[in-house]
Amino acid sequence: MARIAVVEDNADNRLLVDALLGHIHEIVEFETGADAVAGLESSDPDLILLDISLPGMDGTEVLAWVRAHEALGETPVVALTAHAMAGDREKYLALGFDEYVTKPIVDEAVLFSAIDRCLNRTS
Amino acid sequence: MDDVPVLDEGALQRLDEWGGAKLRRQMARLYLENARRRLDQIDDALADGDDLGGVEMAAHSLKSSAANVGLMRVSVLAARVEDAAAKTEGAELPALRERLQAAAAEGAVALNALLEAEDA
Repeated sequence: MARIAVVEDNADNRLLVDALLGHIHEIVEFETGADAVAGLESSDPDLILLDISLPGMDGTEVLAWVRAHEALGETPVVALTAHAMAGDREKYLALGFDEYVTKPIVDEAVLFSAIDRCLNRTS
Repeated sequence: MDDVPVLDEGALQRLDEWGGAKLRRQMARLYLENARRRLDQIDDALADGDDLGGVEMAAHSLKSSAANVGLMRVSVLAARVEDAAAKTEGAELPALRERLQAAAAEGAVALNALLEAEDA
């Protein structure tokens, strides 16, 4: 079991992630980028599932904060986003996300595989 | 838009597989709450001197929530609103907003009918 931080402003998406992952992993939820920055260090996650479109501090800004953080900098970060236009995957991977998964989640195996790849890299 | 289903029941079947009827009902309830909030935000952002960033963010959220519960017509129209706002094509937005409001009303009826049929 890993500890996974979920940063997502939509309550329905948080519920869905918890339904898919909550029986396998420990889930810690943050509703905004600012909440994540305030709480990520103490929750010390093994992986972060990070939405891009967040009110205020968006997902790319949270990612930059994580990467610059001494203790959290190496934590795998998966973009979980409804930004799914051509070129978006390349754009977000180039920004430093470890994996990119699109919403809505249609095939849960895509999310599970992305998480497994990240956790296997760091274990 | 006629080729896009109002309600894709495959999405609801997926929710059943992932968390049973309880998850499906919770997701429907959260969608209905979020849709009202996001449509109000789009209206407010348009009224507020065309705050296109606000329109884009609210439409993006609605696109995702609607797709979770299979309301594909709402999701597709929300994506068009998001895209128009991102490209600062504000002139298209009032007409798109009207279509989105109508699709959301139609979608809420379909979703509620399904939930009520299960209760009966």
